[in-house]
Amino acid sequence: MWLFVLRRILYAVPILLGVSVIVFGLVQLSPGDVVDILIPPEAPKEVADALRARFGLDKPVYMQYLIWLGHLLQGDLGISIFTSQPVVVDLSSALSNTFKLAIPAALLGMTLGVTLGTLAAFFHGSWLDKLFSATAIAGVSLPHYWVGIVLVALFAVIWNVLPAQGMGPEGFPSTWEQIKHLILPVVTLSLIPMGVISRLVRASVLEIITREFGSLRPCTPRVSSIVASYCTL
Amino acid sequence: MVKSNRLFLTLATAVVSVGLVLGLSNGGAQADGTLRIAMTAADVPTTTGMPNNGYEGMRFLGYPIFEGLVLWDLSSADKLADIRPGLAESWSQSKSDPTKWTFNLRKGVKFHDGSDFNADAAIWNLQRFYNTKSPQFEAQGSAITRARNPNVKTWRKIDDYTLEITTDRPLSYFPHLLVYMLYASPTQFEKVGGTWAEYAKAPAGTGPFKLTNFKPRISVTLERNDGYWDKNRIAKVDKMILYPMPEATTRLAALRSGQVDWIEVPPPDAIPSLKAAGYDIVTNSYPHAWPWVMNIKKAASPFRDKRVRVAANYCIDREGMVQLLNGVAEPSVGFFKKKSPLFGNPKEAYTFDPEKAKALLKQAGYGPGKPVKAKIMISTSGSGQMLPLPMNEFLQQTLAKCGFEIQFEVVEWGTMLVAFRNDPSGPPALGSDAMNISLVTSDISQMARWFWSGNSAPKGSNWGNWQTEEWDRLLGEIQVSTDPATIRKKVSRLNEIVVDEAPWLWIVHDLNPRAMSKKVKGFVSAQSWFQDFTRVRME
Repeated sequence: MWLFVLRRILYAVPILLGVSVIVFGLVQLSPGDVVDILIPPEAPKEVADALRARFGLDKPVYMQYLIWLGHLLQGDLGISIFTSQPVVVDLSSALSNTFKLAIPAALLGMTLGVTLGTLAAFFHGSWLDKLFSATAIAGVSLPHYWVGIVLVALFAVIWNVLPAQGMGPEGFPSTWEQIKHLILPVVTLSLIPMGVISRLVRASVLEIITREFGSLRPCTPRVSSIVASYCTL
Repeated sequence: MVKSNRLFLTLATAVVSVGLVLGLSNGGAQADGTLRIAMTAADVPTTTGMPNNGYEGMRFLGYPIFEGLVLWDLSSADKLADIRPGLAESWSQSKSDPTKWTFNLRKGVKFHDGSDFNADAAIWNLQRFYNTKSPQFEAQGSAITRARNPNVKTWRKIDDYTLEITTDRPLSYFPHLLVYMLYASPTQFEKVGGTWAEYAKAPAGTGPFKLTNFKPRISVTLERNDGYWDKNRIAKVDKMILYPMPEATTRLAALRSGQVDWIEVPPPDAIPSLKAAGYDIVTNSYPHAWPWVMNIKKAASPFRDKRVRVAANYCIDREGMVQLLNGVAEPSVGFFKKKSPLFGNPKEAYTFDPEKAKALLKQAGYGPGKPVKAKIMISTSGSGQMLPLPMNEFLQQTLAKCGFEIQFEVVEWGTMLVAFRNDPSGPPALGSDAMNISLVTSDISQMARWFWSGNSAPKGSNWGNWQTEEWDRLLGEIQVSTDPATIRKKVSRLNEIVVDEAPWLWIVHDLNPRAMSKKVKGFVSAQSWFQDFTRVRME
């Protein structure tokens, strides 16, 4: 077991190295560099070159990469040229924001998906089934960025009940001020998992309840509560 | 089972509806006295006292918090903003040695940390920018300052409140450059451990606002500085919160949802609907130009011929362009605005006159069957670039009527900046015959930056390498002159020359639209890239 874990970790090393080379290369491919953004357009070349030398951007690309890698191996991600803050601090703040958004979105998507899928299966063929199935298909099919814009237009601009952008006060989302900033992005992000899960659950539940021994019909109040529980599960 | 499901659905719908009806109100979350502004920057500009993000950075994270020896007079909406005394009460240029400037520093000025501003603090800041070996050297702030103030040579403390700065050449407009050098507190720098990374979180300047909360990429909060030295300019709002919002539609949604009170640069298409919804659209003339800078250095550039440059200027439908932009621009026919006293009396008075343009092109050897072929570098977006794609397509169409066959080299803003700093006949220019880049036109110091042959790219920012003997000679005379009347006369002659010689295609000046809610009162839109937020109040 430990050997397996160790092997997997070792496999990850070349993959991470490869990813880092590709990411580093992609940054180099983009036009201009960070210095062009940091200093004003009227800054003469001499000033831009001096700053470039100070940040080590005048060195060959492979040297820049190796220097970065050397520091990384010592656990030092360096200081961000943009924010002047340690990169670890910037990353951890971005990571915590990602969790704040991704975890509720995944939970909501899963809960809604299971609920709608189960209900659709139970009422298969009925208008409710059609409604939930249509919701699921819409969730998968509608592009995020379009849904986001529509939700902002409705809830922020027209009804003015939720913020159009931003993340509100920092910290664990516990106050209404923090939570209301999460609602629209969380709903938008949950649509795809909701749609996918809903369709899977509907198909699975339908398969079970349409079997001879577990159809919905016998699971009415006429049968024992144990069978009823089994049926709904 | 069916009944219980229906009950559940009904209850859920009811809960959601009640929640919404109970007014999970989004607006009014901020107490009165807080002004919330959406900037166009992609991130909070740097907070150490020499902000990045160009002049928008200076507007919001520069002057409200930090000040220079010289400041902008932003009190009037009716005239082009000029300079006024700031941390220096007065200054003088030595008659015997015009490279020497003496500044009498203002007494009683305190940084936000309570320490005094004096000659020692000023010199500490000069070392921060110009002495790479000083412990307080700030690489990025230094690069920005040196870009705008390349002529500072030495400095000397005469007494606690008198400072002498020497420039590398006589420069009568030196005070106009000093407005771009802002002073930070040395005491605070020591207090936070002597690093700019820590200072960025808790900076201290002398300005009317103090930075109290800095959240990179999210927002920055400034609070009123009650101890500000200029009692007439104590801020009226308690707080100002600034949000970076690079997307115009996001800014629009934020304003309309009540999340912010003020947005910079609303999308021109949205202006009629904003007005209809009761928002104020504030525009004013300011020293911005949206030209094509002609490439004179490239051997095959058609714009080396003055007649072609002038012809192009007669083939621009400036009024049509203003209409295209829903009125948020004004026609440009020179470096200074036509109504400015510095405009002078140039020979050429540009209108949309295709016949005149064709006649000039004929003289230059062009005509039917032989169009002027030119490639223009344009960007997809960028600071002050307005709406480059539709605007340039409009120009392409009108210029075609006179016999110009215009092609575009569409590049990222970063690529354009690289090209702008390099030789216009070298590879970064991508063979372009002109570049569409928006530039500052506030005063003679900027004019020298864009047109003086001593600043020809790649050394400086005269990208097109345009040059005339008379212009260079007059600038030289202005630089050594100490008489304001002579300087004004010669500056207006410089404008006449650049109008007649047409090193730029004069197209439009931006009117810098801002949209704000009716709650925002007291804002005076100065004719400047910068604004005074101390007069603004919230109702």
